[in-house]
Amino acid sequence: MKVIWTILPLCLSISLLAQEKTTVNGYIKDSQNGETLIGATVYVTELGLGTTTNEYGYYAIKLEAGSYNIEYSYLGYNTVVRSVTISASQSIDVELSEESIEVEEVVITAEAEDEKVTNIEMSVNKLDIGVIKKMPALLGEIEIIRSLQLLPGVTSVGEGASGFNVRGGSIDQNLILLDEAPIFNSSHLFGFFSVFNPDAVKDVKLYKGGIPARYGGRLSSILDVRMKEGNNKKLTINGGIGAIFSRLSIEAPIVKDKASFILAGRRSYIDILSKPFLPEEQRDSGLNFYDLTFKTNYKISSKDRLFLSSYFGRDNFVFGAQAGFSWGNSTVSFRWNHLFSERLFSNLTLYFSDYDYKIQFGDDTINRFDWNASVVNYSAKPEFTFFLNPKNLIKFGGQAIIYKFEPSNAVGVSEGEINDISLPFRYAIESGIFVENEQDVTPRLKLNYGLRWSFFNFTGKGNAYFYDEPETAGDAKVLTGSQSFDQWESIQTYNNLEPRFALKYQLNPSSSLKLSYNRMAQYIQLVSNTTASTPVDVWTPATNNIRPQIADQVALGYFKNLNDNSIEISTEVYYKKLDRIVDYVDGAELILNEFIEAELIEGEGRAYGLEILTEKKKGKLTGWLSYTLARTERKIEGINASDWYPSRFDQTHNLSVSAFYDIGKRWSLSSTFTYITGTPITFPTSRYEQQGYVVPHNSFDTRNNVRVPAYHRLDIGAILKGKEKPDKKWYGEWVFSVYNLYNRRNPFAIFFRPEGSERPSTSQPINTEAIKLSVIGSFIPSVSYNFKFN
Amino acid sequence: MKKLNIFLLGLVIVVTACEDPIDVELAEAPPQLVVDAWLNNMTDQDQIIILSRSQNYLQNTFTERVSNAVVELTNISQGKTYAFTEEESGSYHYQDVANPIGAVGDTFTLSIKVESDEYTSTTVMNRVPPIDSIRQEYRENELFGDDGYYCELMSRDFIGLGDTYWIKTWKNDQYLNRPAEINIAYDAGFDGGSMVDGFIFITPIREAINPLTDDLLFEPWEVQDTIYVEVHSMSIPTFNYMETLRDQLINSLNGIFAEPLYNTVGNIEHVNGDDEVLGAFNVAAVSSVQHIIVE
Repeated sequence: MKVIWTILPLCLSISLLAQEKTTVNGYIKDSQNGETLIGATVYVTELGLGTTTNEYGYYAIKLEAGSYNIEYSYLGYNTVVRSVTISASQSIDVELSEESIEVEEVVITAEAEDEKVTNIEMSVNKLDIGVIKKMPALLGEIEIIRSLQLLPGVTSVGEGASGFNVRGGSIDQNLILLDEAPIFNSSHLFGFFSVFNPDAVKDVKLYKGGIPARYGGRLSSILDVRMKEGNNKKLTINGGIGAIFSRLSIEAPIVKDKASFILAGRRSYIDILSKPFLPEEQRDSGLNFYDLTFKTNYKISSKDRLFLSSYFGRDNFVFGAQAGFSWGNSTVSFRWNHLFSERLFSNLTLYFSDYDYKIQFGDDTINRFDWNASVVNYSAKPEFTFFLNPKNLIKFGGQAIIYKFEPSNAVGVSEGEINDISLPFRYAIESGIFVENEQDVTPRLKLNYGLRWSFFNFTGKGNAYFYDEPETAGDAKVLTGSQSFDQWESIQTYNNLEPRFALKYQLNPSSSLKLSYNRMAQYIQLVSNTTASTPVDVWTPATNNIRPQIADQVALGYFKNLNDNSIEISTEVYYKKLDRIVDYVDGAELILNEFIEAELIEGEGRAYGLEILTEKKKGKLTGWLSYTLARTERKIEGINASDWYPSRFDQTHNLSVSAFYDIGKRWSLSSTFTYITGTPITFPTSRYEQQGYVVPHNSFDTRNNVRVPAYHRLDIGAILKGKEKPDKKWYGEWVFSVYNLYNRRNPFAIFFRPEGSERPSTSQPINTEAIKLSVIGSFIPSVSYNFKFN
Repeated sequence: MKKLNIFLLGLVIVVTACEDPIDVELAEAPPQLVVDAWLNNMTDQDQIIILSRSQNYLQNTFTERVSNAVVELTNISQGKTYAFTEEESGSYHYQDVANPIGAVGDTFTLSIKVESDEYTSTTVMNRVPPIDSIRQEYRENELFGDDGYYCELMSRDFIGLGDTYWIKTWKNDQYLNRPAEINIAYDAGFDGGSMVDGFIFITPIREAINPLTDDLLFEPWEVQDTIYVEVHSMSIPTFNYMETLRDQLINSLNGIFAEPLYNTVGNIEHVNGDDEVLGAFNVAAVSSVQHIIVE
């Protein structure tokens, strides 16, 4: 704690002292649409030193007065070199053009593209939205989260399951940020599609380890999704017509080079298309989902810039007037970039984020049931980036979040009698402060060290419940009493110091060794005991009965570039220890249960593995090969005889190959292949008879004792681009894909149940059988059309 | 509430998913003693306790019965002991047409001796509410069934938390025995956590007396059909037992939202050892009603 209070003022005083030194600063942007480029490289040739742009495309580098050649580069873009003579601080904004576009300013291409080797980041994957758009996709729908699963260390419990698992973590251990606001449920239609509209996304970055101190609140990963700012040069309309969604986005300058916006929407239309074919009484039934994304920015001056981003998405299932079910996220984030000086960049984020669902049964007032639940949070997050000198980059800041959990507002009416079974709201405040420094110690050695201090307060208004441990491990806890608290009255507090550390040692210009350690604390969790999380699962805070979860992870990596940086190889090993993770008593009632804490059991987890990623980024044939060898296990009192067992998403081998090939200027082909060891599930050993039913029983009470067969799948895709002419306003492309080309029925789970659907006979023994469930039962071809107008 | 909603979700997934039988190998486990002892206060039928053993899950035969056991039921409150005699292999009966084995509130102990092993369990006969009526209604455009006559069980739960019931239905003397037709209630609702106390049973429980088709949609009644419903009181341990049993049998309907397989927890103890005994012991008070569907 004390450390932070001494470091923070220190940083600020340094910033004041350092005013008279000269600084080159500015923004790096795309020349076509004015979008700022995140993580672009600035390299001073004479000094052999450089920096990268931050999340807002800003860079600053402190230099002695003199003449320099400064290289500005970004993958897939032409490199620009500026020769400058510096006598006083100056701003240089640079616009880079995509490699495919021929421009005059180009001096060099393909320099400083060894970023993965020289950069200190490890366990980080950046997915280029352009690459995601080339991948063969299920039903032709470009899918960010499914694409992530082709990277090492990222898995899912199976097709159709919501969310993703990173290095053995559960789905709620990922902090998914959309323009800094958290998204609590990242899926449409359960887990088939993600909530992100690819037309509105600029940058996707996943931190699986070596997580910097500026991020906190989840154990396993940070998925940082940044939205486009909107073309600030000219009006552009993008759209697509696919099998599931139609998409449309509009982006345009409001004031050229000063303000722009993007508005993007998608809607599914199975319900509309199927309506004429349904019997009349079913025409009011159906499902649909949609999302709207809006962002605008305004450059007030060279020192101040404002951003407003908003997302709203909803899934609706309607069964006439008799029943309805809907869920969705909404977020609003407001951000203010301010330059205190050339070298002190600040961003203040204020956001609101909400996830809620609603369920209704009954079309009259005598017998009905209405139920809704939500998690709402408000946050303020000031962050500062201080470009101390070319060797030190300091970031510091803090965050405070106010949570309001509405676990269920449920009112049943039975024969006119009203029965309110709503549960009390729960409130909590989470906060954190951090400081981190990225330091070039020697030309070979680079460090990033930081510390985060997080603090959590579970507060009233509401009841705190007190429980005794059960007599038998694995049973529900026993309620002993409760106490009522006033609004914002503290019920329980927790705090954690979270050290973060990363090291890079450059072995030679084309290879490096990296090492990282991070400790993460997580104060809220998704309560779910089903294989795939359902939309009705509720988030719940740490309370006086549920302690926050803690994870420690170390990772070691070797990074190597071959063939003039055209092939990048990275190999990492990691070990992650998870403490106080949550599991559930058998048959736990997790919904509409006031005493839900009694059903939760604390335990520990561990995950370790080897990840190899080989990427080929240049040439006609590009792509990557990803391999993960991993184990993730849990140990929970009362489950599996209190011994270690593999978690439901444990996958020993996970291999994927993604390849892209350009034929000429118009056709490009793509293909992905995935092989995954089957996930473990629980098999029974025995059957017994009771009251005429045949009941499965696992005599050894083991959990996840057998694996389902392996999963493998090949997808192919092709894109036919329209002819490109400089003066053409309309540009279209056809996208063809076949998902699951060789028609494999990949297993999701195996169930044990009575055979057949007929009513059981009492005179014959009941036959029981094992059934394999495949979520996708065949190959799925699709065609979609995308267009762009500008 | 959980079950219904998950079922709703599952339904959507089923549309795209497919299921295939698969050959699997299961670990061999030693057979375990199974006690099937669901008794009641009715006098027009034998009280039956069946003793059997578990077997490999994929062995599609009747399970082995356990013969030559000594089975005794003691009504502790009334100081009476009933000896059960083996009528068929493993099937132990007691019949006394004149007198029920006990009254609401009585405590019962079951004792079983198989060779040298002794087993025991204790339970209470809990109260059961009277049934007001069966309500029939002609319905069109139902979500989960064809047009036709639907029935509802009209009965009110007692005030006070923790009453549990098993509602059994017969259609024209055929017992509705699909696992998805198991209709149990905790107070007037689905489970203890939601505390739906003292109400008329909530709609989905009232309506779960309608038979299901092979596709697990409701099958409407026809005119002249006879519906007969019994409400059996349970204890909380046997309710939990039956809830687990039902959830395990219909788990596959939940598709990707299935829960992990977990075991039923019975209420029978091994007195002179620590073998796990499967099955449960319950003594129910029963209310019943019969109704013939009219036009």
